[in-house]
Amino acid sequence: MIPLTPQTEPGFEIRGREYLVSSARMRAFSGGPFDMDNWPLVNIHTDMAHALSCGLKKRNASGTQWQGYILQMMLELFGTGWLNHGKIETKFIRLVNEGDTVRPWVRVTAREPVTGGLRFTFDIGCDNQRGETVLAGTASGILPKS
Amino acid sequence: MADLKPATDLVVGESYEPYSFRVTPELNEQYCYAEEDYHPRYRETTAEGPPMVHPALIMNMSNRTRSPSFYMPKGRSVLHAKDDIEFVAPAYVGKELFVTWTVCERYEKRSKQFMVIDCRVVDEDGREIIRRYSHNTQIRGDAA
Repeated sequence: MIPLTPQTEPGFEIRGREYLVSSARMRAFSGGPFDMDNWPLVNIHTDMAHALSCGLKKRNASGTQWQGYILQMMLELFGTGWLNHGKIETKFIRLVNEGDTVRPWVRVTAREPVTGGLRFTFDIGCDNQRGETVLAGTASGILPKS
Repeated sequence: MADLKPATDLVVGESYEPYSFRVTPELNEQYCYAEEDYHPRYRETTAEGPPMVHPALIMNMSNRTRSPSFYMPKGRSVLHAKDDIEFVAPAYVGKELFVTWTVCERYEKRSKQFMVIDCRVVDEDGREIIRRYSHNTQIRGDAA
């Protein structure tokens, strides 16, 4: 669990670990259930020929795959209570291709009292191995009164 | 396939065909592997309750590409540009989830056409799981 306390101040930043977006994990994420007869589904995430035919240079990962790294961080910050009230807004800035690495981060921008606790607001993002932003946005969650 | 309208041709107010699926332990594990997230909450009963559905599974399975009526001509695909999501309740492994998609806005930005999809996910007990607004555009190859 990442330590988020009522005393956590705006400016507090947490960088997550790096994730390698491998071919196997892309197919597991975007190929449909493993027990489908025609697994994996053919799409720009799973099939090179299809990706090329759509004008891409490589297979690229679904945005929801690395958006998931941010969701993991929010659950580490707030626990599963976040699934009852959490909000997230994300913009997908750049493509993430097979073999790229992605590192998520969150930074507290505001803390305000609300009914039942403190609402924390964050800037969020994911960077690739070149230090380029691939995802940017905001998120919020409520830290309940203990 | 010939009867289906390309996904990017739907107008405001039109909906894609709804989709439902049951979250088996195997499907949930598949997404835990894809996300490299092996927290016990996703595979066993914990102090937080019964095994929970990984949130990234819900996000991916609520992409409109999962709709039975989703169709794009060869050489064209959709690209996810933005998401605005509110989590309402956790989903639990073993439950059937129901997904609906309605086009709620279309706009042009930097000479590209965008579509906003109002997506809702509820479980078999009628519990709302997420409310999601996804902005999407399309890509196409030279041959399309």
